[in-house]
Amino acid sequence: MSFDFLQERNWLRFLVDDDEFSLPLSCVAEVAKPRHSHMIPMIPSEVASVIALRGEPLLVFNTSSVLMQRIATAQSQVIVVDQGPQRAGLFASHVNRVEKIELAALGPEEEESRFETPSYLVWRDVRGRRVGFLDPRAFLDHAKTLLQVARPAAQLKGEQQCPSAF
Amino acid sequence: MRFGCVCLESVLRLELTYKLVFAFAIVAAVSVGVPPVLELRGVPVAMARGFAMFCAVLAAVVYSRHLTRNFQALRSYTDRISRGDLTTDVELRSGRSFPDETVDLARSIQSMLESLRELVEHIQRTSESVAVSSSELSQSAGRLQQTNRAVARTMKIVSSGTNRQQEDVQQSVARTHEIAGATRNSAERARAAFGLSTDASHRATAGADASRGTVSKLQNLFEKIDEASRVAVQFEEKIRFIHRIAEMITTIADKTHTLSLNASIEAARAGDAGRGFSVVAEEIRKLAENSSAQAEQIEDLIQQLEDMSGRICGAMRAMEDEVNEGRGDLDRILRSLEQVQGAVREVQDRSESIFHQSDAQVGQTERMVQDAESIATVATENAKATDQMQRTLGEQIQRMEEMAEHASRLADLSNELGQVVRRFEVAPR
Repeated sequence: MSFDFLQERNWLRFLVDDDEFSLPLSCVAEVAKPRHSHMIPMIPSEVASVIALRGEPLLVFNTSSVLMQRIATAQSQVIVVDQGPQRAGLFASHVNRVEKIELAALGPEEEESRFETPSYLVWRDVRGRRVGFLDPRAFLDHAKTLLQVARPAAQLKGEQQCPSAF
Repeated sequence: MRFGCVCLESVLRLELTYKLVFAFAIVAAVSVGVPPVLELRGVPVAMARGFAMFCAVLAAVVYSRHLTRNFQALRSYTDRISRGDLTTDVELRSGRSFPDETVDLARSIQSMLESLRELVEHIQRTSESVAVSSSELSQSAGRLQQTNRAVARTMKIVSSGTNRQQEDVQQSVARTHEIAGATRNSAERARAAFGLSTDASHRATAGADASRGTVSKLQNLFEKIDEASRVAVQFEEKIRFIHRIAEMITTIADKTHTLSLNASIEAARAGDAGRGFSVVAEEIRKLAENSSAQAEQIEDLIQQLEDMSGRICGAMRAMEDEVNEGRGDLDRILRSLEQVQGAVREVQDRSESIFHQSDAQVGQTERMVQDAESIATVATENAKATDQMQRTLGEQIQRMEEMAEHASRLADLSNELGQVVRRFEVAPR
């Protein structure tokens, strides 16, 4: 797995429940308040809903499910991740701030985790804080895969729609 | 006719003395006159004197017999009278021609005989009447004695009753004294009750006035509580309004925070050109965070205020209910106070009436005690009088027994008198 994304200096730090995460600022389009969400039937539980963002639909993922395989909880903000043609939203409990993090300041990768850590997430120690660094590109690829493969499979299995995150 | 007889009798009356003188004169004349005549005629002197003596004695005898015949008749009458024969009237056959003292004596004896007749008849009738009366008196005395004994028994019962009555009256007097004492105590208590009721009335009036004042103050308090409740409701509404404002501030802070984040993102993209803007965006973000934090504090405070105002309003509503109940209670208290005051006044009036009645009752009881003592005195006197009467009745019974004995003896005496008088015959048999 490549950790090139960790070379980024500006990060957007946010909270999902009590866990702290950071995204490279270069892939963050904006931070928005979720409104006018719409449920999508027969969709994997990782996908929360579709929101209208300035006239364009945006698929928003349950960050808890996507990053920590947990049941989705109520989130207040949406981080719009934009990586070329791919674009998706991530729910966050609270977006803290934009901060500069040097690669040298990062601690070693955490070997044991409470959950099965996905490939697009790496846990590092930052000045005594445990922070999950999210690879946006890998995440978007995973999302694409999720939509292309998992959704038809879910449709075939007849899964119900996931519970709303709102 | 009778007058004529009396006149003739007085004319012809010749007393015994004269008759004796006449008889002596005859004897003397015979004795003296006959011998000379006979001697003249030749009769010896002795013979003549003897004959003269004989003639004188004969004449004296005849004349004396004539003179004593009335006496003998009178003696016969008196003998009859002495034997009790009063049936024969005294009548003299001789001496009518020349009445003398024997006629007077016969008349006196006749008069005495008639008087004796009347007396004996009267005595007989009287003795019979006395016998009858004494018999009746004896019977009456016997009946009266029985009656007296019955009266004595009754008097004994009456005396016993009078003694019991006296004891009862004395007990009644003692009880009357007790009643009088109790009545005086009651009067004193009634006086004390009247004083207490008057004091209670004053206190009740004062309490009612104070309670009215308290009720007025409570009503003012209730109005203030109502006003406070209205203010609390207004305060709650204001807090809701502030809460909405705080929500708005929070929303603005969130939006500002989001905006500052986006501005930071854009500034970071702009590189060095956006560095200044990044600083501004960061300050705005901090400001938004501070605002959000302050808004959260305000929210917390507002929440606390809401909770408090909710509790206050709840308490006010509860208090309002209680105030409404309290108003009803106050009305009832006022009515109860008025009723209590009226009742206390009535108690005062009644206790005053009882006090006056008790006072009058004390006077009446004292008079009753005096009357009872008078009755006791009278009962004592009655008992004494009854004893005296009983003794008197005993004496009377004794007297009646004596009287019965006397009556019996009187009956015996009257019988004896009747027997004695029965010896006298006053009517022809």
